[in-house]
Amino acid sequence: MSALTAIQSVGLGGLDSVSGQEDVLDINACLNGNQEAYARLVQRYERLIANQMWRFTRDQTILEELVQEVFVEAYTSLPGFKGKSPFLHWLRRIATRVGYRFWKNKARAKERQEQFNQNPTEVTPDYNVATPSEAGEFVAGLLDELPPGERMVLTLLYFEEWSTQEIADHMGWTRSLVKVRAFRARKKLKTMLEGAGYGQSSSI
Amino acid sequence: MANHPPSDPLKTFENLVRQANRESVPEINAMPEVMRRIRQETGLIRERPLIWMTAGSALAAVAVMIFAIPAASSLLDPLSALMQNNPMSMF
Repeated sequence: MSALTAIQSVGLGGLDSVSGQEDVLDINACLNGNQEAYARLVQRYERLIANQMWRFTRDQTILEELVQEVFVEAYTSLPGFKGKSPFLHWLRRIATRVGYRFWKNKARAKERQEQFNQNPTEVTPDYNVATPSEAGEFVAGLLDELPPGERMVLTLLYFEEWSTQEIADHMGWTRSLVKVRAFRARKKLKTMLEGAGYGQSSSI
Repeated sequence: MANHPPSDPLKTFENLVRQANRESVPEINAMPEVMRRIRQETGLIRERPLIWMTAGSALAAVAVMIFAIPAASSLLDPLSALMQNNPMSMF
């Protein structure tokens, strides 16, 4: 079954039907070699993907590179798009994969840097946050201290408000792995926050 | 919020995330670069058979040269046949 017929048969639940129909037409045109159709898809979803990728970096240049990477990867994977879910869901999955890969590479580079430096500098987050931007900066600073897997789980739990089952499905992990990572990550997060004077309470 | 944080640090974190979610993300324009990279990649894919053909032709040319150069040099040198048959006969 082609992507087009698959999309038409399952529908585009959850998406605006006009943009859904446009997606179907553009994907089909794109699969027939029309690159302008893909340009329209990029334009349509660039903003949403940028919002998602902003969770992975606070640097505008890197943000732009990550968004580009998502769309290039999506283009090369487009023949494999079965249309079982809306195009945006499929795109978001690729975006998560790209972001996660970026974090893993970053963590490896950080590890090498720390081995070289011997005395890594601790990130001291500033708690006097007032604006959304400061809050974002601060949260990113905290999450940056976690390993990529744990960071991913917390990002999806708190920012996207997904369940552990949804995270497991999306990332291709088992639900128990997600739970273990969430537990460890929350524990570390709590220690970091308490260390900075935020509450001394009990339960995780 | 910073002055009176909740006693549970994770509640504080949740509040911070809620606040961070209201942040406006910088404007980007990824489309031109995406299309440039796609054209570049599809161009490479389209040219791949030509690249293989060029490489194959180059290999064939090298093989021909390996056999052709000694053959040609022996044809051009009238003494070589004589030398190969009996190099000492000249003395």
